[in-house]
Amino acid sequence: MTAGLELEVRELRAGYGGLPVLHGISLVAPAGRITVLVGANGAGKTTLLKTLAGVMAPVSGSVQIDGRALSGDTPADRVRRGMALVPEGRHLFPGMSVRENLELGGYLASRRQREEMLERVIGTFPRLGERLDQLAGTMSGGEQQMLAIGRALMSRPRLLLLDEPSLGLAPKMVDEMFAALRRINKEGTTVLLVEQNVFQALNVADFAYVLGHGEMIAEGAAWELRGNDLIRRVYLGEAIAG
Amino acid sequence: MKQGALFLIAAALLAALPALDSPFVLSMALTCLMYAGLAVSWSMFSGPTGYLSLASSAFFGLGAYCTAWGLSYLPWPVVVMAGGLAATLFAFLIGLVVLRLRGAYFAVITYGLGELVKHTITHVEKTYAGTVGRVMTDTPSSNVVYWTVLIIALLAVVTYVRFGRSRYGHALRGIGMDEERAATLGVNPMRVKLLGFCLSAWFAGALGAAMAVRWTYIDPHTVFNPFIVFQTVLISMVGGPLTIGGPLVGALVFSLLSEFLRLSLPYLYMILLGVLLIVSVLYLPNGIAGHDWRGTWQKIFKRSKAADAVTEQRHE
Repeated sequence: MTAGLELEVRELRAGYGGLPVLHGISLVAPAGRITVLVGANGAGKTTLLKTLAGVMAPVSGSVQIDGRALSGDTPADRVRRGMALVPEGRHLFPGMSVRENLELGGYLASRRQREEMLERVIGTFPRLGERLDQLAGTMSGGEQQMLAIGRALMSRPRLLLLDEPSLGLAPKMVDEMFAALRRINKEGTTVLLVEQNVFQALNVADFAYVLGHGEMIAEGAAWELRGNDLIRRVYLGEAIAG
Repeated sequence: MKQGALFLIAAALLAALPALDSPFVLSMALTCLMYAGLAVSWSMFSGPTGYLSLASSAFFGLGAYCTAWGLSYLPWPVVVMAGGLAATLFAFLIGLVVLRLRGAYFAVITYGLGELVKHTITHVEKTYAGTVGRVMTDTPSSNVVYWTVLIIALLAVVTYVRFGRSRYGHALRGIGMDEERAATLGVNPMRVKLLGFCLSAWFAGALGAAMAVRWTYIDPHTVFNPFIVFQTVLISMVGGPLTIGGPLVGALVFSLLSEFLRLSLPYLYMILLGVLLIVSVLYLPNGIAGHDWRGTWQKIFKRSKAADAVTEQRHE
């Protein structure tokens, strides 16, 4: 099995056109583990993932994969290094078929590898195999999320970043999706999960970070944070009220 | 496979057309093939990306000028290839800059660059050659020109299909839908766009090089005529640039229609083409080939005969 990559973020600052969003955050996603980053809307989660994927440049700070800095790497370089992003709101290519979406996920792989990975992704998500020729935009929310994860897996990532994969899914689909993530992780891929669904995210994760307004406000083992009063008050309280 | 067989049959029939020995038919077919080739090559890049390129006239004109300059020194196939390569080189150079733009900016600047090339060539010819137009001698026979254009058009069709199915074709469509998203999957958007733009330019340039000898006398205003790109875009839009059938059907309908209208209603010709464009943009946004004809038929049929049943179905 493949070995997961370790991701380390140090003192990262980033923002949009002079408006700072991340005020120097640090985190480690240890190799082969599931790390979850929780935080409310507007805390800077998406900005962090965009910076990690290389579509946004940081103001300062460093991102390292297995000890090597990523500065100056294009998004494609990062994919080559083994990173893959499952973006928020799924962001599939709705006018393209399931097969075409998956093939585009394996853009950098050779044709043979692409076919091999297609088989494996269909093995993980059999429903995608039944719908290879269907347009991605015509599938249900859960199926689209499976496709988004499957598309990211096509590049054989050793570090998978996910932006709110449970958003807008029916509870049964959420369970299914988290189970799939656990399987992917067992096969050796490091997972960094960004979630608002705090309760379930903490259940699958090994480590957790809490991001609030561009700063880390708590971190630790996932089981510890589950019992943390602050988290209970801020997030679970919010979830019940909302 | 069925499509492949259809393609081969059509190619064979078209290749045998000069046997009819009818200059009128051949000339019609030539115009039709030229526009088919231009529309297919335009759709290769602009279809998936949604970038409205108006550079085809520039590519076409550059190819034509390559012929004007090289015909007396180089063999015919080399001249045509060189015309395509000149357009490709030009596309590469301008692509590095203009492919960073989007939407109306991209359309306007590609148009402007075409005009720039036209005036540059006019200037160079006036200053160094002391002439504006060029007369071509030793031109190949009209059958050779026809076959050349046919080969380029067929090559364009094959390239369109193969490129569209390749990972670059997928990437180009991905870029058209969401460039940033495509980038996070490992696509280098600039590189893929350049590839598509250059590929599309080769065919337009080669067609210009082949067609140049038809006119025997060329000047910048005839070969860099913006009307060429307007018709190309019109054909692709009316036909539908996202399937190979679109530009082909568009070119056929358009050439026949414009020939018929020009002969029968010379004063209404351009007005009717304008109406055609408006109607197709309003009612066939995906073009003739991309339109859901069955859906339209059902809609008309059901509306008149079984309106109640439809409303019921819709509410379910």
